Amino acid sequence: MQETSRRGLVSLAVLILAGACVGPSRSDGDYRQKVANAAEATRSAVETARLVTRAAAEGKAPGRYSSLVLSEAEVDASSIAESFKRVQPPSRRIQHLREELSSVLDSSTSSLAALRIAAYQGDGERLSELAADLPRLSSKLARFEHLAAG
Amino acid sequence: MKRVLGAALGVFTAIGGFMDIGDLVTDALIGARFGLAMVWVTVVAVIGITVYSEMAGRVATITQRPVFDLVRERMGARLGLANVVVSYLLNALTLVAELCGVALGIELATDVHYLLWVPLVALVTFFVMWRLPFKHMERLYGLVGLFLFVFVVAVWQLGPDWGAMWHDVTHPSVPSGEGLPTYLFYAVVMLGAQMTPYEVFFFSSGAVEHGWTTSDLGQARLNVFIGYPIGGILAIGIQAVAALALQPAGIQVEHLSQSVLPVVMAFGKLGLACAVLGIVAATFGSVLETLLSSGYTVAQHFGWSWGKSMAPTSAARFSVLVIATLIGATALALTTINPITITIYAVYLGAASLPFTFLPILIVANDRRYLGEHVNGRLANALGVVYLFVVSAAALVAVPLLIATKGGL
Repeated sequence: MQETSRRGLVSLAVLILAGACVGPSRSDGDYRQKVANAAEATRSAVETARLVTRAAAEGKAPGRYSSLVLSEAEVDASSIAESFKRVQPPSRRIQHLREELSSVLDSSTSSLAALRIAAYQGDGERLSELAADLPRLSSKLARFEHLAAG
Repeated sequence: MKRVLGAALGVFTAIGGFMDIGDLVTDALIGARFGLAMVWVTVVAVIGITVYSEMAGRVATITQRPVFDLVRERMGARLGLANVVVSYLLNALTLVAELCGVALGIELATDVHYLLWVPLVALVTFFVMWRLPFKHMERLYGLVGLFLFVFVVAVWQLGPDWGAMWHDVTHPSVPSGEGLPTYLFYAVVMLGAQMTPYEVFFFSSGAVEHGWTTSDLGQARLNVFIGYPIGGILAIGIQAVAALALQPAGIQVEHLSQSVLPVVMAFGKLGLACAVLGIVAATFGSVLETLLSSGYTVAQHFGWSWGKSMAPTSAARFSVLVIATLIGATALALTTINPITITIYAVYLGAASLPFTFLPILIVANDRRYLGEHVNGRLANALGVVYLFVVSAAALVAVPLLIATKGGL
């Protein structure tokens, strides 16, 4: 009885861990879903940056707070990009999605890093200048979300 | 004024329980993802925790003994011990998250990494535990925690469409793009975040620390009926500002800094200062609640002398346990373990363990040998049984939903 319960617990733990890990994609549909998820999560980081830079430009968000938010957004975007690139596309048909999204993810991470540095240096003008690129990145990422759904 | 301050235990317990680091992130996460479609869960949680805290407070006030002391006596040491072990581990796990929560709150204002603040927070906790009287502790952190009302005021400042908001609250539905299992997963998370077992332990033990007697029954009820609805209003305020400011942008909340962003957008630096003050006070309150509850549950079960109001030498085992728990939790927090992840899991396990907290309270609150004429009335019993079913159902579906949704993905 004890052995059965132990096996049950081990199976449960394996199931949870398996569910939490980023696994390889088994089908095109599965890969498209991963594309959508990565784009959606990165867009969240980009939009967070957009809101905080707007608040900073209006004199509402202090420099230290903006710097913290942008730093977290950058770490999130970078970690999403790394995880996404580790997943292999299951077929050549959708290989292009990997390359296209990877490029947007890299651009997003770089933009967020530049914003974080400008906020840290208290360079409001540069911050507003760099933030002007965020809506374009957000739209690009949104297109991937819709592409994958279709 | 005296009456208002008299409600401090309830406000402190509720703010510590409803506004701990888990709630601060979960409320914003749910508001940004589901809008106001889960306000009903907060309403359900407020009524449930009020019902059971009133019972626990009444038991403590009439008998001058905390409810878990009586649970052991009434239900036997073996069953009581299982409850104590689970409760202690949950409290200690939550303490780790709350220590990090205070540090994350300070990080918002300083941009100095939260891990550097954790040892300092632990040190301040140690001094507050031993130097600040119980009444001053609850008044200070309970009242400063009310700065969190900045989230509620920010709802007005963000200029919502009140009609649409009311419709979303009264006609909750699963938003497009979300599955029903994910919606239910977050409903359980929110229920667990807002109906935490330590709120009941703390309120019941706090009543004994206050030395409340039968004549203070009204005071105990006032605390419950004022405190928890305040906690609920704050929780709904955070969900609402997240729904107004973050949901349209498609933001997925993962950090405390994102939870306060709507307040910064509404009120700027002053809003941020109020939010940080409220967050630090509320999460520090949760640190004290979870730490004391860890000591209370074990000491009460084994019949040790206990109490924050007692000199450490008079309650040596209780004091050593509290210090050891604080040191252990600080060490775990410093391993760089993700506090938000710990919180979510603690909240989830808390939801799964709620029936084991509530059932003994319901039994003791119906025992005339302890409460005489003050046993549960029909309304308390009806609500108590309904909520026992609600939390049991949540506990049953907790693990299957966790697996099915891969943790809410």
